[in-house]
Amino acid sequence: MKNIYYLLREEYYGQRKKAIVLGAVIFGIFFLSRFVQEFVGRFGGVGQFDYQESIGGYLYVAGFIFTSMCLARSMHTRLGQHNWLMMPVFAHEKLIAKIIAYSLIYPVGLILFTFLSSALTEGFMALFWHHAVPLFRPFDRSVLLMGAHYFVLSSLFLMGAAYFKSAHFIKTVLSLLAFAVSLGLVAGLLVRFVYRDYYTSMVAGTFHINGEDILLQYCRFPWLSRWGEPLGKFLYWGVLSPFFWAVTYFRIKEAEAKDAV
Amino acid sequence: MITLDNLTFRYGKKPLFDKLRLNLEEGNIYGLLGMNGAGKTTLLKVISGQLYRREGDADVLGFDPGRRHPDMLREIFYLPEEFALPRITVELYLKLYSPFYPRFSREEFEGYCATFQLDLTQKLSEYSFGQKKKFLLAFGLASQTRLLILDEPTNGLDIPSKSQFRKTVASAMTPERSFLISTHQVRDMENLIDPLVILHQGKVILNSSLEGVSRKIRMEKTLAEPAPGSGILYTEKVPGGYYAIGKTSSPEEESALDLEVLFNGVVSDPAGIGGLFKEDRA
Repeated sequence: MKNIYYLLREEYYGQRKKAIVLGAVIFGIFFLSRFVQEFVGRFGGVGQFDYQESIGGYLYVAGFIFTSMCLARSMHTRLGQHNWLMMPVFAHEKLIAKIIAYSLIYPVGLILFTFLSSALTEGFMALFWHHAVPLFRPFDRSVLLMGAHYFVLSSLFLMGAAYFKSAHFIKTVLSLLAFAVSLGLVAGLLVRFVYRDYYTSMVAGTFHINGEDILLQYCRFPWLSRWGEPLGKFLYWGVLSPFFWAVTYFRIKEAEAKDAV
Repeated sequence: MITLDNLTFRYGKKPLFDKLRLNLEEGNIYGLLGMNGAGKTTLLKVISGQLYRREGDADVLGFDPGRRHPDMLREIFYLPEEFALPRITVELYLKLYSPFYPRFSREEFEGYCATFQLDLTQKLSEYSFGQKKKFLLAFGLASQTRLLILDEPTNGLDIPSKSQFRKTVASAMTPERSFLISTHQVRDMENLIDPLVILHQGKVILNSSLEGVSRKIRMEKTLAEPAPGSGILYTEKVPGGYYAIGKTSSPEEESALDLEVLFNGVVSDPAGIGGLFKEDRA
Protein backbone atom coordinates (compact mmCIF):
# COMPACT_ATOMS: atom_id res chain seq x y z
CA MET A 1 0.00 0.00 0.00
CA LYS A 2 2.83 2.37 0.86
CA ASN A 3 4.42 1.85 -2.55
CA ILE A 4 1.12 2.52 -4.31
CA TYR A 5 0.81 5.75 -2.36
CA TYR A 6 4.35 6.77 -3.38
CA LEU A 7 3.60 5.92 -7.01
CA LEU A 8 0.38 7.92 -6.93
CA ARG A 9 2.23 10.86 -5.44
CA GLU A 10 4.79 10.62 -8.24
CA GLU A 11 1.96 10.46 -10.78
CA TYR A 12 0.31 13.50 -9.25
CA TYR A 13 3.43 15.64 -9.44
CA GLY A 14 4.14 14.36 -12.95
CA GLN A 15 0.65 15.13 -14.26
CA ARG A 16 -0.49 18.14 -12.29
CA LYS A 17 0.50 20.64 -15.00
CA LYS A 18 -1.56 18.73 -17.58
CA ALA A 19 -4.46 18.55 -15.10
CA ILE A 20 -4.28 22.30 -14.48
CA VAL A 21 -4.28 23.01 -18.23
CA LEU A 22 -7.25 20.68 -18.78
CA GLY A 23 -9.09 22.26 -15.84
CA ALA A 24 -8.43 25.75 -17.21
CA VAL A 25 -9.66 24.71 -20.66
CA ILE A 26 -12.86 23.16 -19.28
CA PHE A 27 -13.59 26.12 -17.05
CA GLY A 28 -12.75 28.55 -19.86
CA ILE A 29 -15.08 26.80 -22.29
CA PHE A 30 -17.92 26.68 -19.75
CA PHE A 31 -17.49 30.27 -18.78
CA LEU A 32 -17.08 31.62 -22.29
CA SER A 33 -19.97 29.56 -23.70
CA ARG A 34 -22.27 30.66 -20.96
CA PHE A 35 -21.18 34.29 -21.13
CA VAL A 36 -21.69 34.43 -24.90
CA GLN A 37 -24.99 32.60 -24.56
CA GLU A 38 -26.27 35.06 -21.98
CA PHE A 39 -25.03 37.98 -24.06
CA VAL A 40 -26.66 36.71 -27.23
CA GLY A 41 -29.76 35.89 -25.18
CA ARG A 42 -30.24 39.63 -24.57
CA PHE A 43 -31.10 39.97 -28.26
CA GLY A 44 -33.32 36.96 -28.64
CA GLY A 45 -33.93 33.46 -27.36
CA VAL A 46 -31.14 30.88 -27.40
CA GLY A 47 -31.08 27.20 -26.45
CA GLN A 48 -30.51 26.16 -22.86
CA PHE A 49 -27.04 25.17 -21.78
CA ASP A 50 -26.95 21.76 -20.13
CA TYR A 51 -23.90 20.88 -18.07
CA GLN A 52 -24.96 17.24 -17.94
CA GLU A 53 -24.37 16.88 -21.67
CA SER A 54 -21.06 18.69 -21.71
CA ILE A 55 -18.99 16.32 -19.59
CA GLY A 56 -18.93 13.32 -21.96
CA GLY A 57 -16.29 14.73 -24.33
CA TYR A 58 -13.88 15.68 -21.55
CA LEU A 59 -14.45 12.47 -19.69
CA TYR A 60 -14.12 10.06 -22.59
CA VAL A 61 -11.90 11.78 -25.13
CA ALA A 62 -9.49 13.54 -22.76
CA GLY A 63 -9.57 10.64 -20.30
CA PHE A 64 -8.79 8.03 -22.93
CA ILE A 65 -6.01 10.16 -24.38
CA PHE A 66 -4.51 10.66 -20.92
CA THR A 67 -4.81 6.96 -20.15
CA SER A 68 -3.25 6.03 -23.48
CA MET A 69 -0.28 8.26 -22.73
CA CYS A 70 0.20 7.23 -19.12
CA LEU A 71 3.05 4.80 -19.80
CA ALA A 72 4.52 6.56 -22.83
CA ARG A 73 7.45 8.27 -21.15
CA SER A 74 8.08 5.79 -18.40
CA MET A 75 7.79 2.44 -20.12
CA HIS A 76 8.45 3.19 -23.76
CA THR A 77 11.25 5.72 -23.94
CA ARG A 78 14.86 4.59 -23.81
CA LEU A 79 15.81 7.04 -21.10
CA GLY A 80 12.59 6.97 -19.10
CA GLN A 81 12.32 3.23 -18.82
CA HIS A 82 15.48 2.96 -16.74
CA ASN A 83 13.70 4.58 -13.79
CA TRP A 84 10.56 2.60 -14.54
CA LEU A 85 12.35 -0.74 -14.49
CA MET A 86 14.58 0.05 -11.52
CA MET A 87 11.75 1.38 -9.34
CA PRO A 88 11.68 -0.96 -6.33
CA VAL A 89 8.01 -1.89 -6.58
CA PHE A 90 6.07 -4.86 -7.93
CA ALA A 91 4.57 -4.75 -11.42
CA HIS A 92 1.09 -5.10 -9.95
CA GLU A 93 1.69 -2.05 -7.74
CA LYS A 94 2.62 -0.01 -10.80
CA LEU A 95 -0.55 -1.21 -12.53
CA ILE A 96 -2.81 -0.56 -9.54
CA ALA A 97 -1.41 2.96 -9.19
CA LYS A 98 -2.21 3.64 -12.87
CA ILE A 99 -5.72 2.21 -12.54
CA ILE A 100 -6.42 4.31 -9.46
CA ALA A 101 -5.00 7.43 -11.09
CA TYR A 102 -6.58 7.15 -14.54
CA SER A 103 -9.72 5.06 -14.06
CA LEU A 104 -10.81 6.33 -10.64
CA ILE A 105 -9.25 9.62 -9.61
CA TYR A 106 -9.51 11.15 -13.09
CA PRO A 107 -13.29 10.62 -13.59
CA VAL A 108 -14.14 11.45 -9.97
CA GLY A 109 -11.92 14.54 -10.10
CA LEU A 110 -13.38 15.63 -13.43
CA ILE A 111 -16.96 15.23 -12.22
CA LEU A 112 -16.25 17.22 -9.06
CA PHE A 113 -14.34 19.84 -11.03
CA THR A 114 -17.21 20.17 -13.50
CA PHE A 115 -19.58 20.74 -10.59
CA LEU A 116 -17.32 23.41 -9.10
CA SER A 117 -16.86 25.04 -12.50
CA SER A 118 -20.59 25.12 -13.08
CA ALA A 119 -21.16 26.60 -9.62
CA LEU A 120 -18.54 29.32 -10.19
CA THR A 121 -19.74 30.05 -13.72
CA GLU A 122 -23.41 30.22 -12.77
CA GLY A 123 -22.62 32.28 -9.67
CA PHE A 124 -20.93 34.81 -11.92
CA MET A 125 -23.77 34.67 -14.49
CA ALA A 126 -26.34 35.23 -11.76
CA LEU A 127 -24.43 38.28 -10.51
CA PHE A 128 -23.64 39.70 -13.94
CA TRP A 129 -26.68 38.78 -16.04
CA HIS A 130 -29.18 38.04 -13.26
CA HIS A 131 -29.82 34.72 -14.92
CA ALA A 132 -28.40 31.23 -14.38
CA VAL A 133 -29.03 27.69 -15.61
CA PRO A 134 -29.15 24.59 -13.37
CA LEU A 135 -25.77 23.49 -12.06
CA PHE A 136 -24.06 20.28 -13.03
CA ARG A 137 -25.47 17.42 -10.97
CA PRO A 138 -22.58 15.09 -10.11
CA PHE A 139 -24.80 12.40 -8.62
CA ASP A 140 -27.23 12.28 -11.49
CA ARG A 141 -27.76 8.70 -12.70
CA SER A 142 -26.57 9.51 -16.21
CA VAL A 143 -23.31 10.95 -14.85
CA LEU A 144 -22.71 8.00 -12.55
CA LEU A 145 -23.37 5.62 -15.42
CA MET A 146 -21.01 7.58 -17.64
CA GLY A 147 -18.35 7.31 -14.93
CA ALA A 148 -18.93 3.57 -14.65
CA HIS A 149 -18.63 3.13 -18.44
CA TYR A 150 -15.46 5.18 -18.38
CA PHE A 151 -14.04 2.98 -15.63
CA VAL A 152 -14.62 -0.14 -17.72
CA LEU A 153 -13.54 1.26 -21.09
CA SER A 154 -10.40 2.97 -19.78
CA SER A 155 -8.97 -0.51 -19.14
CA LEU A 156 -8.78 -0.94 -22.92
CA PHE A 157 -6.77 2.23 -23.30
CA LEU A 158 -4.53 1.27 -20.41
CA MET A 159 -3.77 -1.94 -22.24
CA GLY A 160 -3.08 0.09 -25.40
CA ALA A 161 -0.74 2.30 -23.35
CA ALA A 162 1.24 -0.75 -22.23
CA TYR A 163 1.09 -2.67 -25.49
CA PHE A 164 1.84 -0.02 -28.12
CA LYS A 165 5.22 1.66 -28.11
CA SER A 166 4.09 4.83 -29.89
CA ALA A 167 0.89 6.58 -31.06
CA HIS A 168 -0.86 4.72 -28.27
CA PHE A 169 -4.27 6.41 -28.53
CA ILE A 170 -4.60 6.22 -32.32
CA LYS A 171 -3.40 2.64 -32.42
CA THR A 172 -5.82 1.64 -29.66
CA VAL A 173 -8.73 3.29 -31.45
CA LEU A 174 -7.77 1.67 -34.77
CA SER A 175 -7.41 -1.71 -33.07
CA LEU A 176 -10.84 -1.30 -31.54
CA LEU A 177 -12.27 -0.44 -34.94
CA ALA A 178 -10.60 -3.46 -36.49
CA PHE A 179 -11.92 -5.59 -33.65
CA ALA A 180 -15.43 -4.15 -34.07
CA VAL A 181 -15.40 -4.93 -37.80
CA SER A 182 -14.19 -8.47 -37.14
CA LEU A 183 -16.78 -8.90 -34.42
CA GLY A 184 -19.46 -7.61 -36.80
CA LEU A 185 -18.47 -10.22 -39.36
CA VAL A 186 -18.50 -12.99 -36.78
CA ALA A 187 -21.82 -11.74 -35.40
CA GLY A 188 -23.24 -11.69 -38.95
CA LEU A 189 -22.22 -15.30 -39.44
CA LEU A 190 -23.65 -16.24 -36.05
CA VAL A 191 -26.96 -14.56 -36.86
CA ARG A 192 -27.01 -16.44 -40.14
CA PHE A 193 -26.49 -19.66 -38.20
CA VAL A 194 -28.75 -19.00 -35.20
CA TYR A 195 -31.63 -17.81 -37.36
CA ARG A 196 -30.98 -20.24 -40.16
CA ASP A 197 -34.66 -21.29 -40.35
CA TYR A 198 -35.59 -17.76 -41.20
CA TYR A 199 -33.20 -17.48 -44.09
CA THR A 200 -34.36 -18.84 -47.39
CA SER A 201 -31.32 -17.63 -49.32
CA MET A 202 -28.06 -15.87 -48.55
CA VAL A 203 -30.10 -12.75 -47.77
CA ALA A 204 -33.08 -12.86 -45.43
CA GLY A 205 -36.28 -11.75 -47.15
CA THR A 206 -38.34 -9.62 -44.79
CA PHE A 207 -36.08 -9.48 -41.81
CA HIS A 208 -37.46 -6.98 -39.31
CA ILE A 209 -34.96 -5.73 -36.76
CA ASN A 210 -37.08 -6.14 -33.71
CA GLY A 211 -34.95 -7.70 -31.03
CA GLU A 212 -37.60 -9.27 -28.84
CA ASP A 213 -39.65 -10.71 -31.71
CA ILE A 214 -36.69 -12.06 -33.57
CA LEU A 215 -35.24 -13.66 -30.49
CA LEU A 216 -38.52 -15.24 -29.51
CA GLN A 217 -39.83 -16.21 -32.91
CA TYR A 218 -36.94 -17.39 -34.96
CA CYS A 219 -34.11 -18.22 -32.66
CA ARG A 220 -33.10 -21.87 -32.65
CA PHE A 221 -31.61 -21.37 -29.19
CA PRO A 222 -34.34 -19.89 -26.96
CA TRP A 223 -31.98 -19.70 -23.95
CA LEU A 224 -30.26 -16.88 -25.80
CA SER A 225 -33.30 -14.66 -25.41
CA ARG A 226 -33.27 -15.28 -21.68
CA TRP A 227 -29.56 -15.29 -20.93
CA GLY A 228 -28.12 -13.22 -23.74
CA GLU A 229 -28.56 -9.84 -22.09
CA PRO A 230 -27.45 -10.83 -18.56
CA LEU A 231 -24.49 -12.65 -20.10
CA GLY A 232 -23.55 -9.61 -22.13
CA LYS A 233 -23.86 -7.36 -19.10
CA PHE A 234 -21.76 -9.72 -17.01
CA LEU A 235 -19.07 -9.83 -19.69
CA TYR A 236 -19.07 -6.06 -20.04
CA TRP A 237 -19.21 -5.01 -16.39
CA GLY A 238 -17.48 -7.97 -14.77
CA VAL A 239 -15.02 -9.48 -17.20
CA LEU A 240 -13.89 -6.81 -19.66
CA SER A 241 -11.80 -4.59 -17.38
CA PRO A 242 -10.21 -7.40 -15.30
CA PHE A 243 -9.26 -9.12 -18.55
CA PHE A 244 -7.58 -6.03 -19.98
CA TRP A 245 -5.90 -5.25 -16.66
CA ALA A 246 -4.50 -8.77 -16.61
CA VAL A 247 -3.12 -8.36 -20.15
CA THR A 248 -1.65 -4.98 -19.13
CA TYR A 249 -0.09 -6.56 -16.05
CA PHE A 250 1.71 -9.21 -18.09
CA ARG A 251 2.88 -6.61 -20.57
CA ILE A 252 4.26 -4.44 -17.75
CA LYS A 253 5.88 -7.45 -16.11
CA GLU A 254 7.62 -8.61 -19.25
CA ALA A 255 8.86 -5.13 -20.27
CA GLU A 256 12.59 -5.03 -20.90
CA ALA A 257 15.10 -2.30 -21.47
CA LYS A 258 15.46 -1.46 -25.14
CA ASP A 259 18.50 -0.39 -27.05
CA ALA A 260 20.71 -1.65 -24.26
CA VAL A 261 23.95 -1.49 -26.20
CA MET B 1 26.97 -11.32 -4.13
CA ILE B 2 26.58 -11.85 -7.88
CA THR B 3 26.85 -15.24 -9.53
CA LEU B 4 26.16 -15.81 -13.19
CA ASP B 5 26.46 -19.35 -14.41
CA ASN B 6 26.36 -20.39 -18.06
CA LEU B 7 24.45 -17.24 -18.88
CA THR B 8 23.29 -16.88 -22.44
CA PHE B 9 21.90 -13.71 -23.88
CA ARG B 10 21.24 -12.72 -27.44
CA TYR B 11 19.79 -9.83 -29.37
CA GLY B 12 17.63 -11.52 -31.96
CA LYS B 13 19.63 -14.45 -33.26
CA LYS B 14 23.02 -12.91 -32.59
CA PRO B 15 24.41 -14.27 -29.32
CA LEU B 16 26.14 -11.72 -27.13
CA PHE B 17 26.95 -13.93 -24.13
CA ASP B 18 27.42 -17.62 -24.55
CA LYS B 19 27.65 -19.58 -21.30
CA LEU B 20 29.11 -16.60 -19.49
CA ARG B 21 30.32 -17.22 -15.95
CA LEU B 22 30.99 -14.52 -13.41
CA ASN B 23 31.33 -14.40 -9.65
CA LEU B 24 31.57 -11.08 -7.82
CA GLU B 25 32.21 -10.80 -4.08
CA GLU B 26 30.83 -8.22 -1.69
CA GLY B 27 32.92 -5.29 -0.49
CA ASN B 28 34.80 -4.51 -3.70
CA ILE B 29 34.92 -1.85 -6.35
CA TYR B 30 34.82 -3.91 -9.52
CA GLY B 31 35.94 -2.36 -12.76
CA LEU B 32 34.17 -3.82 -15.77
CA LEU B 33 36.21 -3.29 -18.91
CA GLY B 34 35.52 -4.29 -22.47
CA MET B 35 35.69 -3.06 -26.01
CA ASN B 36 32.78 -1.27 -27.69
CA GLY B 37 29.98 -3.77 -28.21
CA ALA B 38 31.48 -6.31 -25.79
CA GLY B 39 28.24 -6.21 -23.84
CA LYS B 40 29.21 -4.26 -20.71
CA THR B 41 25.96 -2.31 -20.52
CA THR B 42 23.95 -5.39 -21.45
CA LEU B 43 25.64 -7.33 -18.66
CA LEU B 44 24.82 -4.56 -16.18
CA LYS B 45 21.22 -4.59 -17.36
CA VAL B 46 20.97 -8.35 -17.02
CA ILE B 47 22.41 -8.12 -13.49
CA SER B 48 19.96 -5.37 -12.54
CA GLY B 49 16.97 -7.18 -14.06
CA GLN B 50 16.35 -4.75 -16.91
CA LEU B 51 17.03 -7.45 -19.48
CA TYR B 52 16.13 -11.12 -19.22
CA ARG B 53 18.73 -13.77 -19.78
CA ARG B 54 17.73 -16.48 -22.23
CA GLU B 55 19.50 -19.39 -20.50
CA GLY B 56 21.64 -20.05 -17.46
CA ASP B 57 21.41 -19.20 -13.78
CA ALA B 58 21.78 -15.82 -12.16
CA ASP B 59 21.88 -14.84 -8.51
CA VAL B 60 22.12 -11.21 -7.49
CA LEU B 61 22.06 -10.46 -3.76
CA GLY B 62 20.19 -13.72 -3.26
CA PHE B 63 17.55 -12.96 -5.89
CA ASP B 64 16.89 -14.00 -9.44
CA PRO B 65 17.32 -10.65 -11.24
CA GLY B 66 14.80 -11.60 -13.93
CA ARG B 67 12.03 -11.55 -11.33
CA ARG B 68 12.84 -7.92 -10.49
CA HIS B 69 11.82 -8.33 -6.89
CA PRO B 70 11.47 -4.97 -5.10
CA ASP B 71 13.66 -6.25 -2.24
CA MET B 72 16.46 -6.71 -4.77
CA LEU B 73 15.83 -3.41 -6.55
CA ARG B 74 15.84 -1.62 -3.19
CA GLU B 75 19.44 -2.80 -2.76
CA ILE B 76 20.64 -1.72 -6.21
CA PHE B 77 21.28 1.77 -7.43
CA TYR B 78 22.12 1.97 -11.10
CA LEU B 79 23.54 5.13 -12.59
CA PRO B 80 23.23 4.73 -16.37
CA GLU B 81 25.44 6.40 -18.93
CA GLU B 82 22.48 8.33 -20.28
CA PHE B 83 19.52 9.23 -18.12
CA ALA B 84 16.50 11.45 -17.87
CA LEU B 85 15.65 13.53 -14.82
CA PRO B 86 12.24 15.07 -14.28
CA ARG B 87 11.89 18.86 -14.44
CA ILE B 88 11.42 19.24 -10.72
CA THR B 89 13.33 20.67 -7.77
CA VAL B 90 15.89 18.68 -5.81
CA GLU B 91 13.59 18.84 -2.79
CA LEU B 92 10.68 17.33 -4.71
CA TYR B 93 12.92 14.65 -6.21
CA LEU B 94 13.96 13.60 -2.74
CA LYS B 95 10.36 13.64 -1.55
CA LEU B 96 9.22 11.45 -4.45
CA TYR B 97 12.05 8.96 -4.77
CA SER B 98 13.90 8.64 -1.47
CA PRO B 99 11.01 6.73 0.22
CA PHE B 100 11.69 3.81 -2.13
CA TYR B 101 15.09 3.37 -0.44
CA PRO B 102 14.50 2.70 3.26
CA ARG B 103 18.05 3.50 4.38
CA PHE B 104 18.27 6.78 2.47
CA SER B 105 20.16 9.37 4.51
CA ARG B 106 19.35 13.01 3.90
CA GLU B 107 22.41 14.04 5.87
CA GLU B 108 24.73 11.95 3.70
CA PHE B 109 23.03 13.23 0.57
CA GLU B 110 23.67 16.83 1.55
CA GLY B 111 27.26 15.93 2.41
CA TYR B 112 27.89 14.40 -1.01
CA CYS B 113 26.17 17.34 -2.73
CA ALA B 114 28.43 19.72 -0.82
CA THR B 115 31.46 17.74 -1.97
CA PHE B 116 30.23 17.93 -5.55
CA GLN B 117 29.41 21.64 -5.13
CA LEU B 118 25.79 21.21 -6.16
CA ASP B 119 23.32 23.99 -5.49
CA LEU B 120 20.31 22.24 -3.96
CA THR B 121 18.00 25.20 -4.54
CA GLN B 122 18.26 24.79 -8.32
CA LYS B 123 15.83 22.81 -10.46
CA LEU B 124 17.23 19.55 -11.79
CA SER B 125 16.63 20.73 -15.35
CA GLU B 126 18.95 23.69 -14.71
CA TYR B 127 21.87 21.41 -13.90
CA SER B 128 24.45 20.60 -16.56
CA PHE B 129 24.87 16.98 -17.64
CA GLY B 130 27.85 16.53 -15.31
CA GLN B 131 25.97 18.09 -12.40
CA LYS B 132 23.00 15.82 -13.03
CA LYS B 133 25.33 12.86 -12.96
CA LYS B 134 26.86 14.03 -9.68
CA PHE B 135 23.38 14.59 -8.27
CA LEU B 136 22.36 11.04 -9.14
CA LEU B 137 25.60 9.68 -7.74
CA ALA B 138 25.00 11.59 -4.48
CA PHE B 139 21.46 10.21 -4.38
CA GLY B 140 22.68 6.67 -5.05
CA LEU B 141 25.37 6.83 -2.40
CA ALA B 142 22.94 8.29 0.15
CA SER B 143 20.47 5.50 -0.65
CA GLN B 144 22.95 3.14 0.99
CA THR B 145 22.16 0.30 -1.35
CA ARG B 146 24.36 -2.77 -1.18
CA LEU B 147 25.21 -2.61 -4.87
CA LEU B 148 25.95 0.48 -6.93
CA ILE B 149 26.18 -0.03 -10.66
CA LEU B 150 27.83 2.85 -12.46
CA ASP B 151 27.93 2.83 -16.24
CA GLU B 152 30.63 5.13 -17.59
CA PRO B 153 30.36 7.37 -14.53
CA THR B 154 33.16 9.77 -15.50
CA ASN B 155 31.78 10.55 -18.97
CA GLY B 156 30.73 14.17 -18.93
CA LEU B 157 32.59 15.03 -15.74
CA ASP B 158 35.22 17.77 -15.76
CA ILE B 159 38.75 17.05 -14.53
CA PRO B 160 38.26 18.16 -10.88
CA SER B 161 34.96 16.24 -10.77
CA LYS B 162 36.68 13.04 -11.86
CA SER B 163 39.04 13.35 -8.94
CA GLN B 164 36.11 14.17 -6.61
CA PHE B 165 34.31 11.16 -7.98
CA ARG B 166 37.21 8.81 -7.18
CA LYS B 167 37.61 10.21 -3.68
CA THR B 168 33.90 10.09 -2.95
CA VAL B 169 33.47 6.52 -4.16
CA ALA B 170 36.54 5.38 -2.23
CA SER B 171 35.31 7.08 0.94
CA ALA B 172 31.82 5.62 0.55
CA MET B 173 33.15 2.06 0.51
CA THR B 174 32.04 -0.22 3.33
CA PRO B 175 32.42 -3.99 3.70
CA GLU B 176 28.68 -4.41 2.96
CA ARG B 177 28.68 -2.25 -0.13
CA SER B 178 29.96 -3.05 -3.61
CA PHE B 179 30.48 -1.04 -6.75
CA LEU B 180 30.40 -2.35 -10.27
CA ILE B 181 31.82 0.30 -12.55
CA SER B 182 31.78 -0.10 -16.30
CA THR B 183 34.18 2.19 -18.08
CA HIS B 184 36.16 2.99 -21.16
CA GLN B 185 38.14 5.62 -19.31
CA VAL B 186 40.60 3.27 -17.61
CA ARG B 187 42.85 6.17 -16.61
CA ASP B 188 39.97 7.81 -14.71
CA MET B 189 39.56 4.69 -12.65
CA GLU B 190 43.17 3.91 -11.84
CA ASN B 191 43.74 3.62 -8.10
CA LEU B 192 40.00 3.06 -7.62
CA ILE B 193 38.88 -0.14 -9.28
CA ASP B 194 40.05 -3.44 -7.90
CA PRO B 195 39.32 -6.24 -8.91
CA LEU B 196 39.15 -6.05 -12.67
CA VAL B 197 36.67 -7.84 -14.89
CA ILE B 198 37.37 -7.92 -18.62
CA LEU B 199 34.58 -8.91 -20.95
CA HIS B 200 35.52 -10.00 -24.44
CA GLN B 201 33.62 -11.81 -27.18
CA GLY B 202 30.81 -12.92 -24.88
CA LYS B 203 33.07 -14.28 -22.16
CA VAL B 204 34.71 -13.02 -19.01
CA ILE B 205 38.40 -13.40 -19.85
CA LEU B 206 39.72 -11.86 -16.67
CA ASN B 207 38.25 -11.55 -13.19
CA SER B 208 41.02 -10.93 -10.76
CA SER B 209 42.27 -8.52 -8.13
CA LEU B 210 45.17 -6.30 -9.11
CA GLU B 211 47.28 -8.18 -6.59
CA GLY B 212 46.34 -11.41 -8.33
CA VAL B 213 47.29 -9.88 -11.67
CA SER B 214 50.64 -8.69 -10.30
CA ARG B 215 51.38 -12.16 -9.04
CA LYS B 216 51.07 -13.61 -12.53
CA ILE B 217 52.33 -10.93 -14.86
CA ARG B 218 54.92 -8.24 -14.77
CA MET B 219 54.97 -5.02 -16.73
CA GLU B 220 58.00 -3.08 -17.68
CA LYS B 221 58.62 0.03 -19.69
CA THR B 222 61.66 0.00 -21.93
CA LEU B 223 63.16 2.43 -24.36
CA ALA B 224 63.88 -0.18 -27.00
CA GLU B 225 61.41 -2.74 -28.30
CA PRO B 226 61.90 -6.00 -26.37
CA ALA B 227 63.40 -8.78 -28.46
CA PRO B 228 61.00 -11.58 -29.43
CA GLY B 229 61.38 -14.76 -27.42
CA SER B 230 62.48 -12.97 -24.24
CA GLY B 231 59.45 -14.23 -22.30
CA ILE B 232 57.39 -11.27 -23.41
CA LEU B 233 53.72 -11.97 -24.04
CA TYR B 234 52.65 -8.57 -25.31
CA THR B 235 54.31 -5.34 -26.37
CA GLU B 236 52.76 -1.96 -26.88
CA LYS B 237 54.39 1.19 -28.16
CA VAL B 238 53.73 4.08 -25.82
CA PRO B 239 55.12 7.62 -25.79
CA GLY B 240 58.76 7.38 -24.78
CA GLY B 241 59.24 3.68 -25.34
CA TYR B 242 57.49 0.34 -25.06
CA TYR B 243 55.38 -1.38 -22.48
CA ALA B 244 55.89 -5.09 -22.24
CA ILE B 245 53.86 -7.72 -20.44
CA GLY B 246 55.58 -10.90 -19.37
CA LYS B 247 55.04 -13.73 -16.93
CA THR B 248 56.39 -13.23 -13.44
CA SER B 249 59.23 -15.50 -12.48
CA SER B 250 57.99 -15.66 -8.87
CA PRO B 251 54.76 -14.54 -7.17
CA GLU B 252 56.77 -12.12 -5.03
CA GLU B 253 57.97 -10.19 -8.05
CA GLU B 254 56.16 -6.86 -8.14
CA SER B 255 55.69 -4.30 -10.89
CA ALA B 256 53.48 -1.30 -11.44
CA LEU B 257 50.39 -2.07 -13.51
CA ASP B 258 49.15 0.08 -16.32
CA LEU B 259 45.47 -0.84 -16.68
CA GLU B 260 45.21 0.34 -20.25
CA VAL B 261 48.17 -1.76 -21.37
CA LEU B 262 46.92 -4.69 -19.32
CA PHE B 263 43.52 -4.44 -20.98
CA ASN B 264 45.03 -4.22 -24.46
CA GLY B 265 47.28 -7.18 -23.73
CA VAL B 266 44.53 -9.39 -22.35
CA VAL B 267 42.14 -8.56 -25.19
CA SER B 268 44.79 -9.09 -27.86
CA ASP B 269 45.66 -12.51 -26.48
CA PRO B 270 42.68 -13.86 -24.52
CA ALA B 271 43.97 -17.41 -24.58
CA GLY B 272 47.58 -16.57 -23.67
CA ILE B 273 47.53 -13.69 -21.20
CA GLY B 274 43.86 -14.20 -20.35
CA GLY B 275 44.52 -17.89 -19.88
CA LEU B 276 46.84 -17.11 -16.96
CA PHE B 277 43.80 -16.03 -14.96
CA LYS B 278 41.57 -18.91 -15.89
CA GLU B 279 41.25 -20.31 -12.39
CA ASP B 280 40.51 -16.84 -10.91
CA ARG B 281 37.47 -16.28 -13.14
CA ALA B 282 35.01 -18.54 -11.39
